Amino acid sequence: MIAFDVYLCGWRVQSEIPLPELLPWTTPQHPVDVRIRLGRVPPLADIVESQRRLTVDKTGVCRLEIPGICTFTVSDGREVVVDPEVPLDSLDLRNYLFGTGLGLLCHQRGVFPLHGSCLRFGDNAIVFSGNSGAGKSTLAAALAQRGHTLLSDDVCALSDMEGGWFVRPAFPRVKLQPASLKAIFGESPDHPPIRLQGKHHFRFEPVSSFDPNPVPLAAIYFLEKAEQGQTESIVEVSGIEKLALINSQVFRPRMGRALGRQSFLRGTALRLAGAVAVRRFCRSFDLSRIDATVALLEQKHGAPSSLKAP
Amino acid sequence: MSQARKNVNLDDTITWSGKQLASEIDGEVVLMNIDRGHYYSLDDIGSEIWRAIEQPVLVRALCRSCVEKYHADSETVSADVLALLDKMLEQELITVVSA
Repeated sequence: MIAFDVYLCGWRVQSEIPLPELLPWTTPQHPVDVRIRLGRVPPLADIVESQRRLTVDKTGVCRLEIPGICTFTVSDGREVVVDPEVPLDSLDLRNYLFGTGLGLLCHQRGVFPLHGSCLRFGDNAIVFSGNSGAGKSTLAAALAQRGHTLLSDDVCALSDMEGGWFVRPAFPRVKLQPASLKAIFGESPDHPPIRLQGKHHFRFEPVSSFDPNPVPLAAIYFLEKAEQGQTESIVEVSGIEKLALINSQVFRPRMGRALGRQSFLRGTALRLAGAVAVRRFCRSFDLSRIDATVALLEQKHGAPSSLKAP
Repeated sequence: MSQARKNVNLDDTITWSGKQLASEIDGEVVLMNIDRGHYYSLDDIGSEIWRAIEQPVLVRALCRSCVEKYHADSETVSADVLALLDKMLEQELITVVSA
């Protein structure tokens, strides 16, 4: 079986499943951090937590079962065993590996997974978080279309390194509703998207130009919907309210608790709140106003150095 | 054992416990008991007191410096400081190093 050798959030991942969104690994002397292999995935015994199709056993093994697509386990932050029901190159498979799979790897490896999309603005990373349906991916796509580099979608892996907070880049891909896709790219996007479960997947740059190095985290925006007639506004959040917002968007927190990460997650949120700017970003859901939303962010964080042609 | 103690006295020497994590969020100190994951937010004076007990401090000396700093009467200050320290001790955020 050919193993694909790639970067994911700074880890060396060797996979029997093709992962074309990820940059090929370049330093052969580095040990493998995560192996993704094919195999049988029987149900877990001694289950300590279950949430819909996700279960955790008392040794910390996590198992996700998506009928018709795949079942996989994530163990020790090092091994993913996948039993697929679709072709190996199917995007459906990667959709779950890059979502829940990546979130579980973060929990097991002691990395803080924040629910949101992340883009690079100049030398810094900005995370856009918020509830499902808050427009994280749509905003990320609009910013990527402007020329800001997309660093991750859905799960943002945050680590403190050498005293600062960093985002570990995952891949330059975003999931969009068809309506958002049309509003941002018009009728005929340059690169045709791939359809999946009512959302379209859209890739923004060739993998070869993706920089896998950690990017300093400058701010976390929590997206909210403006009342009708209200214009876009950014409000600085301070004190303990920062903590409440960060804690509200930990990716799969119940799984994190079941894995014994509660103290780590609460403590990380506390340290993050002390170190990083947190803002509420209230803006219209009217897709025709997406340009105003982007303009407001660029006022604060700068326009991309090389603007893409409209 | 110091862990079993419920109240802090003026003659105790206290300091941060090993079970807490503290972060300064926009000038406001927020504490967490590492085992329980609960947060405790301190006001300005509480934050000042927290910073002052990073190294072991005699509670009586801590109260005296508060009296000087806030120009309040000694009895009120002692009662308020002891009440705050009792809560911190209860949540294992501080420890009594010697009496």
